[in-house]
Amino acid sequence: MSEVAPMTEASPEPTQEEEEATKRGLGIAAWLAIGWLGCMVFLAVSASFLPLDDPINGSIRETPGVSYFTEGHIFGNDLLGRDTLARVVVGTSTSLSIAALSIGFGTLIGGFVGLVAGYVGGRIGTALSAMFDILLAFPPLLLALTLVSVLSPVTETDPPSRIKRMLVVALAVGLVSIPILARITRANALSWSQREFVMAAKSQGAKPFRIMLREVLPNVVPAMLSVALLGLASVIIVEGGLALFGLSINPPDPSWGNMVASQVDDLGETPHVWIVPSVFIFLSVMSLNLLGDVVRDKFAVREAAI
Amino acid sequence: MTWLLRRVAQLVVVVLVVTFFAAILTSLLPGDPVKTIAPFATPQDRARISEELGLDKNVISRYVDWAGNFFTGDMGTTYAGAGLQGDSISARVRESLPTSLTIVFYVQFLTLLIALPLGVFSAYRQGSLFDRGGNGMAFALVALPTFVLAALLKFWLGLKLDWFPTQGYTKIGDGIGNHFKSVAMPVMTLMVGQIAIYSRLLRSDMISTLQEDYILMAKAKGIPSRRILWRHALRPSSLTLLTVAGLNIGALVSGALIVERIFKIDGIGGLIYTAVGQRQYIAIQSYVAVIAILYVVINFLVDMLYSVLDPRIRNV
Repeated sequence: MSEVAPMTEASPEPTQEEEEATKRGLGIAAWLAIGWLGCMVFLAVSASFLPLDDPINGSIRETPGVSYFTEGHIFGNDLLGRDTLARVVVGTSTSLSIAALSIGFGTLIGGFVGLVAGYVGGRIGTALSAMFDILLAFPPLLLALTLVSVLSPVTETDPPSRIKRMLVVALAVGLVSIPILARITRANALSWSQREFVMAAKSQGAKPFRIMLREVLPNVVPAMLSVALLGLASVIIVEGGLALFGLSINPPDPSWGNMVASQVDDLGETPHVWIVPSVFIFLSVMSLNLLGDVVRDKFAVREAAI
Repeated sequence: MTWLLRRVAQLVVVVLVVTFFAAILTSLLPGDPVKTIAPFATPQDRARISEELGLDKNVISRYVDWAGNFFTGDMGTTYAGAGLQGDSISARVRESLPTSLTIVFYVQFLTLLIALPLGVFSAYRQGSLFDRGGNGMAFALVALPTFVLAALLKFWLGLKLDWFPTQGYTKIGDGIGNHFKSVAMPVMTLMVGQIAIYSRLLRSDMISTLQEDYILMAKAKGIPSRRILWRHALRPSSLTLLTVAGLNIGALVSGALIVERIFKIDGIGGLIYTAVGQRQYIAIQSYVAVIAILYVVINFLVDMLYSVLDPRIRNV
């Protein structure tokens, strides 16, 4: 299991089919996905500047629990009179920050360890990949759940601040993503390390660190990017799972997962409050999955290496 | 044979590491762990708990003690806020585990029952409307998180149409009709994504198998297509499916935790939900260990099955 078979077609000469895939345009679906994600990033960044209602404190002047397309509340509001649009936009910034932080963390550490394991190989490589296998032996949600509940135990007296809680969640989910990213980086680094230009650099006396960064890494990036995009999607999903167990950021602060989780025991009351963030989650996850696939096809990342 | 021994050794090592992680969880608690476990306990009670949990000993001997108890079926008890001992954790696990396993079993069984014909048929009719439609649908369904799908089903089938109970679990002994009704929505939720993944995988493997010479040979001999598909092509095409089935157990376990939470089922996911809410860290330790061991063992069994299906693996 731990031994990755040396790829038979180690020379990444693209086959005809792959060549077509790399030349083809992005296609309308990919552009739609980029457009949607662009909107999400815009909302996340500008959440605090947009003219939105207060996402945390409801107003007593509002009729609580109105549905979609009410005047002033395009997505309605909840039983506390809080505007769903405002909450989902602030939730966007929370959910995307957690996703970006954890995958950034996972890519940095997993990428580095995987690169070393793949390039140096030998005993160190085997030992490192045995470690990834063990980390992968935990179901991801369970590991994240345990880590958050242990690292940030909520005591009634001092609930951790929003930022601190976000960092803990991102750290826990990031830890889960390390072995996945390390594995793919290692598999790719392994095959690229055998190429002639790496030999050439070696024979010119380049230091291992330089070869790893300048020769191997640039070739491994597409594979990492593809997995990182899929990873962002799974972090969004895992955040929702954590929220169900009360382990994402603390209510009343909104995140996509929190908004669904808060309604899950009373789905019929104000359905728009959970349906709106669900649609946001669904479209974002689908876009990220699609782009992950596009990157993989475009750069002819071989499945065998995954 | 050496292959089998190596796999078993690997299994043992992973189980040890996984349980070790679970056993030292309490040391990761920031500050004084006893204070978090029993915040309102008197100093005497705190000292007693600390001794019971072996917090004053070093990590290794604490693990040995814990593992000795754990593997003989004694998982300790829960602690109330004032430091009093509560229920036995092992009893809770024994009660809930069958529920979770039943659900996971139904899901796996029904998934294969539906995904196999779907995959085979869309490979056979590659490029047809059915195939392309299936592809698009699978892509969308994979992007639908378990908790969103569970919420949608609970809302429509449970609340609006009132077909199934929205929460709780009926044991098979307490009425077979009610049993199936109570698991219907959780099982459906978990099946959808799995079917999408499995049928697509099987399809792509089938397509490459169908291009092999021996399939052409079988066709030339006049063997009916149904027999070619099911008897000649399916077995060599099912390897990737199996590997992914093994890896997918992780996703399935995560999914089971989520549906049990949403449909308020007292499986191991329900236990974890309660334990997290009440900060029962000692209980969480055992639950984590139980699930992780199950996961590792199932993966191991899938590996075994893999070698039965493809004799070449055994010699690697």
